[in-house]
Parts: sequence; C-alpha cells; structure tokens
Amino acid sequence: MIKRFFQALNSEGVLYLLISGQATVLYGAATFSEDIDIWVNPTPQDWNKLLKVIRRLKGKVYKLTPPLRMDLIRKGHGYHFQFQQRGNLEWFLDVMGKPPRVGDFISAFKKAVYHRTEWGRIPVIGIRELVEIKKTRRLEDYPVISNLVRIEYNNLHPSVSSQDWEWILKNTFEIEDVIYYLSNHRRARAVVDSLKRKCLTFVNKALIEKRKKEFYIKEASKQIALEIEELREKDRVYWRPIIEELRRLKKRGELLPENDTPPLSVC
Amino acid sequence: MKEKKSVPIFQTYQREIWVKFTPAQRLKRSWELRKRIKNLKEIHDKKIFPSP
Repeated sequence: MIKRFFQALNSEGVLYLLISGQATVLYGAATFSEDIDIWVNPTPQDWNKLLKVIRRLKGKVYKLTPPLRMDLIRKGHGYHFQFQQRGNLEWFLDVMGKPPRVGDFISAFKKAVYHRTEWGRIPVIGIRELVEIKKTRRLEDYPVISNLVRIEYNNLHPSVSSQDWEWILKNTFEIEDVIYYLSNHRRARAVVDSLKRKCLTFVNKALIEKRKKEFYIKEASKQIALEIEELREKDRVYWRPIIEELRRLKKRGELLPENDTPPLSVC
Repeated sequence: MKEKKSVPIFQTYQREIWVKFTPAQRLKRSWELRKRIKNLKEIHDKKIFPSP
C-alpha cells in the first residue's frame, strides 16, 4: 500500500521530499517513526496531483486539517491524512508545503538524496536541512540530531573542511561527541573560537586543563541543556501563530471534516 | 578502582549495528517494529497535536 502511494507520487510527477522521522530512519539516525512526513512543492499543480493520489488510494482527512488553500499551505500548516492497510493496520501521512527553519522547496530538492527502498526510489531531504527540521520542541529529537551529525561526519571523514567542522560543531548536542571531535581533530579545535558556542569553549578548556576537566565538562553539559531549551522555545514561538490560525479556522468550522475524502483540488 | 561509564544499550545498537544496515534494510526493519506497536494512533497524535 505504501509502495503504491510512492509509486503513484512518482508516476504523477509530484515534486516531493521525504522528511522528518522516516528520513532519519533511512539515514540511520533513528530506528522508528510512527508516520510518513513529506514536503510537497507548494504549487497548485503539485498539490492537485498529490490530492489525486490520496483520493485514488482512498486516503481520508485526519484530525485538525485546515482547508486546502495555497495561502495556508505556504504559511506552513500541516495536512494530515490516514490510510487503511490490509489487516486493519493504518498509517498516517503528514504533508507540508513549508516545513520550519528550511529555505525554499526547490533549493532543498536540488540537494535531495535518493534512496532505493521497497517503496521504490525515494527523494529524501539532505541531512543538513533535516537537522534544522528536527530542532523541535520534542526533547527526543536532539539525540537524533547528534546522530545525523555523526553520520554526516562519517560521510565526510577524512576530508572534513573548516566549513564542515563549523556545521558539525554547531549542531552536536551530545557532550561525548563534542569531546570526541575536539580531542581528535586539530581543524575542529581551530574553528571553536569563531563559533562562540560556550559548550565548545568549555570542552576545549577541559582538554587543556586536565586537572579541572570534570568541572569544565559539567559546565559544557549545562550549556548544551540551555541551548536545547532555547531551541525548543524557538520552535514553540514558530508554531504559535500557525496554531492560533488553526484555532480560528476550527471555531469558524472551516477545517476539513475528519474521515472525509479530501477535495479534488486546492484553492 | 576506575569507574566504568555506562552507555545506554539503544545508543550502542544505533551506533554499532543500525547504521551498518542499508537504508532499505533499515526501513524494512523499522516497519516490522511498527507492526508490533499497539497505540500508534496515540503516539502519532501526541507528536502532531501536543497539548498546550
């Protein structure tokens, strides 16, 4: 069933990227995700083709789904659908036209990584864009981000440029990984000062002043925890106007009715 | 005696074994695991519609 869904997306020529949970599974940064998230190019043509596919596979509207209007799609609203599989199993599809913290679709699409799977050949969002999407309010996403960073490091190793090190060191939230990178790579240590990330400065000090190592590592860990809290808050702030708009739409009875077949086209 | 640092089993599995599978193998195994989860809807809803 899921294979048919992706085959249909590909044969209709929908421009899309697999993002979030399933993308982290494909990269090896997570072992499980409960749903399928895709980013569809926010044009009426692509969304109309998507709706055709959902309708053909008897997908239904799920909870809190706003009307299929291009202005709402481009603002970053999420569209939720569910499908029934054999054996009464169901799966959930979440679609966005503008995920948080990433640029435009076409730029991301140019950096897509294609994976061959039992669902077919799937375009997956690049690791660096995926890391931005995963900077959510959910605490469990931060170890996954560090895993993605480690995977990117392994892909690049041994030719890690200074720019790559900047990205790696900016996006690692596991103290053990920070210690590993700074202990083993002179080029990584060289970019620490320019990044102005307190946790990196503390780890650097821990590596130099061995007697006070424990103190500095503790301070670095505290800084990482604070940074995570800041990112979680930023994510809440990002979603606030979207959630408020969703509430207004609900109040006015404009949400798509749950369990309905989605409309034929966007407006 | 030097204290031995414990590493969570899951993290070791992810770092040592999981990353060595191909993307297709990971996807297949992940969906096998998914079949065993009873409250998928709840997990999904909690993620997508967090309580304020």
